Amino acid sequence: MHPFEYVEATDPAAAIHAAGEGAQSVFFAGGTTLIDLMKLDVMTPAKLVDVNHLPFSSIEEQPDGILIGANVRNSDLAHHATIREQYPVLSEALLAGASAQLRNMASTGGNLLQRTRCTYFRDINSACNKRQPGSGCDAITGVNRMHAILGTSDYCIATHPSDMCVALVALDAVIHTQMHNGTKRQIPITEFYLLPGETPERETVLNRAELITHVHLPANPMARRSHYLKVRDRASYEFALASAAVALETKGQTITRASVALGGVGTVPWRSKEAEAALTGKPAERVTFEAAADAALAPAKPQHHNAFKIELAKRTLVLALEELMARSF
Amino acid sequence: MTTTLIGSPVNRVDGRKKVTGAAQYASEFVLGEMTHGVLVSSSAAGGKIRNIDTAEAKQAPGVLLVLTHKNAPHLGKMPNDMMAGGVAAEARPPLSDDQILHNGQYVAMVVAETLEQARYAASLVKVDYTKGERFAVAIEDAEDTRYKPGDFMGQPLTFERGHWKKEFEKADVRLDATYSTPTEHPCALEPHATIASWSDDTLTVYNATQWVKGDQTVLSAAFDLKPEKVHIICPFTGGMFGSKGATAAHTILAAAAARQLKRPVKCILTRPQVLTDVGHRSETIQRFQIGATRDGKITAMRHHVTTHTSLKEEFPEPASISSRMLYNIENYATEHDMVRLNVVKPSWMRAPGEMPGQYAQESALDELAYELAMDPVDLRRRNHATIDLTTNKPFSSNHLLECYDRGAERFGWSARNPLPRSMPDGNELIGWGMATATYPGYLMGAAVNVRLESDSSGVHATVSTAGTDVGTGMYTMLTLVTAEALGLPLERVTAKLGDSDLLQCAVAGGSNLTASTAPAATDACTEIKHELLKLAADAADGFTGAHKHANEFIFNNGRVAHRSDPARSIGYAELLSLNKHPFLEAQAQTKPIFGHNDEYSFHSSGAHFVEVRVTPAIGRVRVSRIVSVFDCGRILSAKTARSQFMGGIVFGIGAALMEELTYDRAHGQPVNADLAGYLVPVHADIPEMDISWIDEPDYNFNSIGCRGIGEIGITGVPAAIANAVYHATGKRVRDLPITPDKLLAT
Amino acid sequence: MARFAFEVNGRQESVDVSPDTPLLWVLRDSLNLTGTKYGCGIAQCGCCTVHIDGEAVRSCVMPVSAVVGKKIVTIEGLSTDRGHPLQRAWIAQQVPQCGYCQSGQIMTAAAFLKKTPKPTATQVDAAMSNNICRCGTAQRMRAAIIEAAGMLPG
Repeated sequence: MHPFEYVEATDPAAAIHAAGEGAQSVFFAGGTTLIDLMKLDVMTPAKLVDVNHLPFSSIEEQPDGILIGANVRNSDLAHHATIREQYPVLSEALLAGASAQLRNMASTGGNLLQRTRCTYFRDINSACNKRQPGSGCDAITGVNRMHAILGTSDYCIATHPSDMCVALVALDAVIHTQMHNGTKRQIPITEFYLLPGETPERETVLNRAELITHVHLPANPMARRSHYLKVRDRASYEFALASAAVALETKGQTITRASVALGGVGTVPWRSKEAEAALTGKPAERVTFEAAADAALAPAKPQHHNAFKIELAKRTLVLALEELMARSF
Repeated sequence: MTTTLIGSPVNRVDGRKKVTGAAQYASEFVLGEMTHGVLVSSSAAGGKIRNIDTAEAKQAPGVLLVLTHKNAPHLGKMPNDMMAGGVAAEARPPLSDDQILHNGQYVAMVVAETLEQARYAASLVKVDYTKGERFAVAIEDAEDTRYKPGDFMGQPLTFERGHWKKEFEKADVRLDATYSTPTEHPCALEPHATIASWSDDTLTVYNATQWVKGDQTVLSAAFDLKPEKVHIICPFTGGMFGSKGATAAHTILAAAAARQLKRPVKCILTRPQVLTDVGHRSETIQRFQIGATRDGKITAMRHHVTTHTSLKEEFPEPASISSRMLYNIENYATEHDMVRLNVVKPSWMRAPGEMPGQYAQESALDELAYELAMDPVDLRRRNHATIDLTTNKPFSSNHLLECYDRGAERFGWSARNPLPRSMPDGNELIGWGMATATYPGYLMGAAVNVRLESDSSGVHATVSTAGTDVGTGMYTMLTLVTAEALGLPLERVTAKLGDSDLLQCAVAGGSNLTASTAPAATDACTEIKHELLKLAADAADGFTGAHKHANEFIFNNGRVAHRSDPARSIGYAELLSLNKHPFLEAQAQTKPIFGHNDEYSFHSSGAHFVEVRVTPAIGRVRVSRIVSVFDCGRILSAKTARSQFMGGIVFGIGAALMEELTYDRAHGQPVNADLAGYLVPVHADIPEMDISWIDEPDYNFNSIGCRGIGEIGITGVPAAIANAVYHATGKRVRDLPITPDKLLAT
Repeated sequence: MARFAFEVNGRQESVDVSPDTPLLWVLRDSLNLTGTKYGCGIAQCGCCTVHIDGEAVRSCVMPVSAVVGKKIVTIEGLSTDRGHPLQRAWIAQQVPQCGYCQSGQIMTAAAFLKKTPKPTATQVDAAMSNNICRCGTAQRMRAAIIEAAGMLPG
């Protein structure tokens, strides 16, 4: 690991100030991705600014939703009674992600910024436009079974690995941040992630030294009826081949509102407005679900090894919707 | 002899150490002035090193030495053959020239005061490689190198008996199917590690190994030392599964660097280095052509195998080793082709040959059973072999038919409807499959010392040999066998292992070590008992009256008694006090048997019955139930034996459903060389296993009647799972692992 | 190099190492607490699991600078008499084979049982699946954890 300086921040302003000094500073929360990538020399920050002691570790129930501190650990969020009851998709996604132990370490803010598991990104000897802009993309010509089929570009096909973020996208979460000059902003999660395009090194709209303080989950009755389904190569402790976060509102047999997001297949946590449109106003039955799945995957672009993900993602979405409808409410 | 301990569920003698963190593995020995070595791996898969720049690394804080091919010491020629008593992982010494044979090959070793300093400095070594060199990491990219290999451990890989082609062509029913298995890795949890230290002209090496004597042989050759000047120590090995049998480059380089620095050097491989630079199981492509009569008699079989090896050396994964002998097939042929790839030399991995071979053969038999509309167990019974047709010798002891019977009964096989997709359950499809397990009886030979002596609280026996306990339970087994033979309680016996100063012992591989050491330990104990009887006779005046013949005395309850009146007895401690030394010591040894001797063929066997639950919509397979029954001769230590069977079966689940080391064909590196990428089964993948054994001793094999158990568990499991998946779904996956994409595609 | 102070197994420790040194190597190389194992170095296997302020954490990705003032417990300090219910159950169920992953397994299980004193087999699998065992001891671990849960008060 390249040597680095370590600073423990005591308040948000100090953290942002410390991170603003020198180009090579990063915030350090759970460390589950950061230290891993530092050991691989993929990230070589000169300074780590520890934000674990900042006062962002509570889950507050508010009239218009729930405000989750950026330092709330994934495990605490997953097991929070209100989250489990009113936003089951989030709890299920968190429990499907990583492992109990990593969940104990991983923070909400850090998980939002989880880096891709693309093997070429993680190997400093490979060409990767995300790690080293302009160097090329060895994944496009290489082994890309695990790579994205939605939102890709000629520059990058890396999959966004998070389970939590897929649920947050389905729930229209809003990300609260604080910046150098003290200003704060609220960014809808659907606008938070950037498609790789020609600049895959830019993954979010965050500015340098902009600190995530909270995630807000808007009140949403539909979220009570939500579900996360993940398909992977082993039974546990593995990233998704495909996953689906779904929420439905029905009147009788008719779907009146729907929210659909896909994981394991997109370069960003993938919201599918097309699938939602295909579901809304239709009977809650298999044909409708299949039409929604077709709509969701219509823009998919397969690579050499991952064409199966199109069919798998469709079936995952259909099964997720079926499992959700089979639940009693 | 009344058996009290052998076969009983004795607890592991090293259990407490292993649950308290006290078991000491190679990298955990504390030596003064320790330094840390980190290896730099090649990012190129072929070609040459054009330039290697170590200037910046040498100046980094704490750096003591940077070894490259330009300054590495010249090493002696190392043995590369198990029969020569040691195996260098690759014949070419590390850092010997500028040639790059595969991605990951070590191009430098950086030694520094601390591990972090060495790691950082290693990242500063700059290497330029010649560009545009041809290389290949997939069989289909290396067809031009296809050739026929030599023998595998004395067995020809290409041969024929009878007339398979003629019989195949005229057979009532024919099957022609090709199966493939990917590159797999043993991937033990303890990364390979060495501490090397010199004092004067003696080299001491703490090594994560399965063969201290092999390491001693290789290192003494490399550094031109007498074997007694090389001391290898390894009290515990953190798993190996074949991967720690050969003496590897990092061990040799640590010793070379330590000699130069005159300080101990510790070198622990990174996980990617373990997966890239330690030999894997080669991929296999296997074509089976089988002809049979309508009533299920197999009349012809041809098994064609293709595997890969490295550019300069040969390790053929011997996948036909079981198809040639397991069934009674008169007309049989096997051929083996190899291609050369830019990968590290393949090596042993749990059941080399039998694992992929049994996957293919047992899948093919399942397909044939469906062709014949015959129960797959009945098909196997119909073709059961009582003599080994490769050697024309009878099996010494073979209870495979009982394994089928008992396994089928415990599983409830008779309730099976053979129709695919006949057991739906909600969103899932249940499937049942079975396969035969098989593994040869190997006994590679060992010498064991037993010493009985008095201590303050009575008598104590120490049983010792240089063999290693790689997790299998050797400490426990030898303690148990010695205690049993001498009539001592377990706590009065200590086993000493893993030290090259102890007596010669074979590699902990080929499931041979128990069969090699247990009879030797028992024989040594017998010799000590003779001496005790003699002492008793000499001392007869003291406790029996006038008798003086050893044959008048018997062993009774840990004491020596007079035959006529067992109440008149004398304890070992008293007898030892009459001896001219305060101890008795004896040695005994066993001679090698590789699968057969002049009279018999030695094979273990078994049967697996597996239930899977498949979610067809998303191609998800979970193994929900396994029943396995084994015939491995006499089982000495029931608890450690059960663990070995379980471990093998879990390896089989991994091979069936997830394990695959994947290489990038454009650049030559493995793309999943870590534990998040190379998937092995985790808790949620592992069902409850119902494991039992026949427990019939094979006294033709050795005096104690035991054959090995470490590897047979894995054989057949991938086929039983694949067959169950077919039964569940009607989809036959002929290419491991069975992942969701393959079930969606077929 | 710099000095870092924290508590390990009830004792105050102070080490002089570079701030980027992972806690794992401080435990193993500076304090000679080698019960905590290195398996991958990047939080993928669980061999290095210790408790930091009561939570099971992977020490290989925890820089020593981030544990200053914290309470660390390793396998050597899990119980004063080496007789934690899990250690006893581990022996009773004959869990270890090679033993290398077992410290991490036991530390993970200990933290899990604190939060889930009466787990089901499925909960055990979910909690333990992030700790890899290549010897295949999962079935025995499942039994041992459930047995240990029975030994715990309540």
